[in-house]
Amino acid sequence: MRSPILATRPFEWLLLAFAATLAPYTLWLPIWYSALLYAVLGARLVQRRRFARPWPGWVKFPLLAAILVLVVWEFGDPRSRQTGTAALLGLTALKLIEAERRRDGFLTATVCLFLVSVQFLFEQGMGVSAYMVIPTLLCFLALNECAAPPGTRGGIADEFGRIGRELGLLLLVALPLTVFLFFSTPRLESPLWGTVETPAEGRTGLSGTMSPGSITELIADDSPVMRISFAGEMPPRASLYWRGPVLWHFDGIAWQASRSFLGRSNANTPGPTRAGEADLRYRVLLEPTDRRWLFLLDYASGIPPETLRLIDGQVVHEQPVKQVISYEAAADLDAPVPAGPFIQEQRGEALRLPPQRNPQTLEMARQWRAEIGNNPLAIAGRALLHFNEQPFAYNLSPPPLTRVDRVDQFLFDTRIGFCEHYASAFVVLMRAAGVPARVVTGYQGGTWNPVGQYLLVRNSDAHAWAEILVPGQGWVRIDPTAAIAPERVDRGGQAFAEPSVWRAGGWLEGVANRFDAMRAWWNETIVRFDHLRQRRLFEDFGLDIRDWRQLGLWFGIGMIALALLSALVFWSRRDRREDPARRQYLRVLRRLSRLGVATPDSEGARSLAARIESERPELAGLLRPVCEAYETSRYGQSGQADAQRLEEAVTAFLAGTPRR
Amino acid sequence: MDHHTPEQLTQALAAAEAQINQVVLGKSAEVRQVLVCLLAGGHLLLEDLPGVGKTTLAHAVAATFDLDFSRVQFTSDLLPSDLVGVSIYDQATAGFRFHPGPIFAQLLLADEINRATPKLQSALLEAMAEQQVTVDGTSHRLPQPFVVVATQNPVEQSGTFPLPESQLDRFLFSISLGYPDERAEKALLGASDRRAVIAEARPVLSASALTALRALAEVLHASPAAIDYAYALIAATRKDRRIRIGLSPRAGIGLMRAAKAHALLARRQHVVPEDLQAVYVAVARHRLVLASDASGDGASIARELLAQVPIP
Repeated sequence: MRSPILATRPFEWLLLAFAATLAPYTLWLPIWYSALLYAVLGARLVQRRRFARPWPGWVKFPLLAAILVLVVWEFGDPRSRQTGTAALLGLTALKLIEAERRRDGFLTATVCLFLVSVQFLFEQGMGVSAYMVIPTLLCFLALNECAAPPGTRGGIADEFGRIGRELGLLLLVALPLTVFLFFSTPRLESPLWGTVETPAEGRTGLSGTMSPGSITELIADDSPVMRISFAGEMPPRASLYWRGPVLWHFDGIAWQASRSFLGRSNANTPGPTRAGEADLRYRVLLEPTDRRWLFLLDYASGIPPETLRLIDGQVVHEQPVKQVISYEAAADLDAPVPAGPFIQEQRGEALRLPPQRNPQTLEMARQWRAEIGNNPLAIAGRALLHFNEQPFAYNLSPPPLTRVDRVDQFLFDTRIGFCEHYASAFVVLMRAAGVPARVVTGYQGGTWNPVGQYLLVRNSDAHAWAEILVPGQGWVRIDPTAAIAPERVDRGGQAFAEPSVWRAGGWLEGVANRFDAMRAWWNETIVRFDHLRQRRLFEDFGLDIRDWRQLGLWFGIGMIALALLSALVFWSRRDRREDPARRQYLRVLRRLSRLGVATPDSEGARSLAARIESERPELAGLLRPVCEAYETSRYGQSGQADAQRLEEAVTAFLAGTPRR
Repeated sequence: MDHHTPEQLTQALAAAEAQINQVVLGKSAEVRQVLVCLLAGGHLLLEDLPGVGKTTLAHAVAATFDLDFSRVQFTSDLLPSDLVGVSIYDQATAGFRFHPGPIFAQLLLADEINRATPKLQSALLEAMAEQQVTVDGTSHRLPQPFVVVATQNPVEQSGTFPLPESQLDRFLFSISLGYPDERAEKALLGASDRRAVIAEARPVLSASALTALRALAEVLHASPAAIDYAYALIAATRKDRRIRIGLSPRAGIGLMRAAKAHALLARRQHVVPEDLQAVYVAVARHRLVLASDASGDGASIARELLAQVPIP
């Protein structure tokens, strides 16, 4: 059976559905590519409305080649999910160019639905998920419109109720199956798309280096990093230091993580430890960062499984965090970070300074050392006093540091800066005075959400502080920023950010809190439904799924059974095989379409032959015998001879006409 | 004038068509439709303005096929007995004697059928369906073949009784002649009186030959593919939301019979999709009951369906 013509209205719904599906992808697709795809859709809309002629091959094929080449050139690795997705988006747009039959409509709508789900490989947040309802409904609408026989539909306004009822019924039927599949689809321990490593895709967050301005960028970013619920009372905000990357190496401008083994894990590292009874217990829901660090309160007396503690006290996950994860930990807020093994190597690394830089700073630190002697805590106190006595100011947009000796310029000239400047200058001072010191980055404080009863930490809570090595105690945290601007630590980073109605004190704070609590719920219940929770759920039903392979097996069997059932229904509905004469005739029609001859479904063979006689006389000679033989074999009291005659005529036609 | 073999019959049919076309100028497509309707054994509804040649056409057909012709102008005061006849007491035989009315003809031209009262309309339509009339409990066979050509003025609606759908269904075809084209109209203006032309027309086929041709059409081959297409065309009227009532099974049977007649006129041994397409609008246009908000008329919607429904 030849698929019927795709009417204008379903086609335009389809176009709209694809345009809506494409929208969230524009967030990461290069702008020229999104623009190209939308331009193709627009051109197609105009062409289909205004001109009957299909797009010629010399437009379609170069466009196809261009899209594929540009995608590979832009995204590189053809195995990565970006490349595959971008290519699929391009191919779908091209398919819409030549969608003329109802079958094309069904196919494209289905691919659009697939693209809707592919979107969740990139972004699973609640906002985007809520948006995806729109393209999903549009796809269903397009499918529904494609399925309606032509002429049976009125204006969209008249049909609103009917379409709504039909879609609602379909969704209602699909809902239980969707819920079942959500819970029963085997969850892998690590997502499949994690197999091809991609660099962090432009996500903001702490990066393992600290260069001037890197933290201001974060402070402008209100996106959530993690949500923490405490087992008991929330401790005072000033004591909440969420430890992130530890930076050892200073080149005069930027701080970096240790290049030696100190930044790695070691068998001698204190592993997961049993937390004491008095320790603070809490649970973290961490947003995807694409990096391995987990942010834990110091000192982390209990760390989650599947994590490693590095020599410098940093706790990292086994793989980069590509989706929302949750972990539980315990902390002893008053204890310093233990010095750990390789103390000599640590001391050496923590005293190193860029040679021949910042002479003024070095000179001042040497004086302190001479005055105070070898007392790390006293030297640190002297430095904090210096910050306090001299006219230092905390400001998120300080004057730029331009001299080679940046620390000198900051300490003796500009004296305006924020946490990264103070932490950096402090550690340089300590090292110059012979006190081993390092920079720690992470987050400080957070915002209490009374609706969800959790602490929200945003990127704007990013912070940098210092740690000095005190013999006998370990690494002691010193926050020089607190000496300059105690309110940064007391009230959080937002105290210095632009005021906003959404933030603390703003009149929409309650709304913001409710919305964030909803996001937290979404992440906790929907996004983070992983293999462990799935196993637990099935255990509740008395099913022991020891590993996902077993679940996968049952799932596969179920799916195959479902597919067989569908096939059975499909075949029983298909009343009979296509008539052989018709099959032959359709070959001729397809060739005619390629030759640019319109072949409406409602035109009989006889009329077609007559029309070609005047429109394309060069084809008429070969076509006439085909049409005559087809007519007698399909409509006459035909015998074997007619079928033979038709086959010969078709062969002659196909041989005698160009392919395109 | 007597023809026996199918070959001779169809040849004579072509000659008949040519003769009617000489009387009714510039309307060969409509003449073809009228002949199809006649061959399919159906009744014809002409929806037209006055003066476009409805009567001339009916006269020409009657003369060409040698049919006994009668014409009744329908008015609101016409009684059923005026049409079918009355039984009058005959003193000579001391019994009632039936005096047949004008309906006892082989070709009845019922002019402006919608001006008659429903009572008269139903009497006529009963006769069309049963091929007989019943007066005072006695049934009288109508002469065979019996063909009604009814006319309706689509513009003037005041004082009319529109035919109910159930009665419209009894007309196999509804066609509209419309104005002749420029060439035909100029020829008409320059030529002599049409009545003289009709008077010159000689019978080409006998009434019995018409019956034989009808039998030939009846047995023409309709392949399953052609039946599939006919079904698709009928089903489409039942699914379209602009149509409140689609084609009835009786209309479907009529469509198939008309297609066979069309194939016979085209001298084919079997029905092809083009036959169905050629008769579809005439079969459907008066039968489709449109939804109140539908734009267009039955004919335009039927033509749209023809363009939409794929040939299986």
